[in-house]
Amino acid sequence: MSYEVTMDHPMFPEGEEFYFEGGLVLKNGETTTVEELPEGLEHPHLTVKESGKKTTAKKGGE
Amino acid sequence: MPIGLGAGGSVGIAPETTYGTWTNTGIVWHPVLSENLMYQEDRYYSQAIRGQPMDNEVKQGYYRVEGDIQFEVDTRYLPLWLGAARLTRVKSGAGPYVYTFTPNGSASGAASAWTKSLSISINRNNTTFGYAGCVVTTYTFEVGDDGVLKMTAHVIGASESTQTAGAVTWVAPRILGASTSSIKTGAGSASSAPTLTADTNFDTFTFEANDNGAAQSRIGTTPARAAAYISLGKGEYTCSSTLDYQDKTEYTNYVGTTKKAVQLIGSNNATTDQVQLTVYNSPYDTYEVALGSMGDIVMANTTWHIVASGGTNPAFDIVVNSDANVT
Repeated sequence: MSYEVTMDHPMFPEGEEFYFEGGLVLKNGETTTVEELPEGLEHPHLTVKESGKKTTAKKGGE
Repeated sequence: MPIGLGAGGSVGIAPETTYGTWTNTGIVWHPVLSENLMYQEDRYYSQAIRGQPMDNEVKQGYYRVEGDIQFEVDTRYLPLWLGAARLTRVKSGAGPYVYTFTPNGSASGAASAWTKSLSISINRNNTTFGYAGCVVTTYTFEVGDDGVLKMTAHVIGASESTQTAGAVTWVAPRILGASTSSIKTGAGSASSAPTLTADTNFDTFTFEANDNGAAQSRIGTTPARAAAYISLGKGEYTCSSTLDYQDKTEYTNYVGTTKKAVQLIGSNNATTDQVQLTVYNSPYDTYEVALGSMGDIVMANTTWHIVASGGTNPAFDIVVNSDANVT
């Protein structure tokens, strides 16, 4: 199963590269397809969608 | 759990929508050089007389979180820190942005004393400490012997809790190093822009703003025992420097309380990555010149006592040019 992950941090310009622990690199505002989700990928500005589904791992803070 | 190393830690900061309510919305993971933000409690030890000579009971008291966070200045994060200090922020531009910060006289509160308080999340040995209602009550900008512009933020916050801050992410680092810093000086100016010229005699330079913050405890606050708010008192603002002593001009200015303007600039890019700190019209407080030993260069150790400009200029301002969109 693959996942579409999108980092959308409002503070940073589009294209800014975010380096996650474990080696995942995502560009702000761009969607990347990954085969496996790294453990602990929850982030308030990260959206994870299973291929063809609208499941998200977005985690709010408040 | 294995033994932890400092390098494995991480510090995240997020602007708060509601003062004192912890959040990770908008969190940025901020490289730091050191931190010692921690829970500090006025614990109550009962001295009730019960026939024994030691304190005979303990009860939890009011608490706050407090400590220093030191980091290399990065103009993407700097507006968050300065937005949590007693500075009025004016933001302009549609990206890149210009953030202009000037001191104000408010005692406390978002949109009054500061723009937004911070929630600070710190991972230490894979455990997360969540601090809420954090305000920068003292801050320093320093260019030391390594030529790197660094900032130390003294933070006082309202409460601590265990939180899940989420995945740690980093963006490429930016440092304002020795090739990017400059200092300009000139005659003080109350209302107009001072005429400044580059001064290359400075060995070190430090700016410190101390707003004399204090945690205020009130009966029955939520969370229990946490600070109700952070107050700010008299503003004490100074610059200090070590520079080559060449003639008596500045010494005479010191003796005569002649006011000066001084500007510190750190710039990688004038529109996207620059900080400019200007003091408009302030006197020297000390100007020390001495023969330390036969091998020493004759240097002047100086401090400025920053006072109100006396006109329409602020006492000082900090202008940050950044491509980060800080709300």
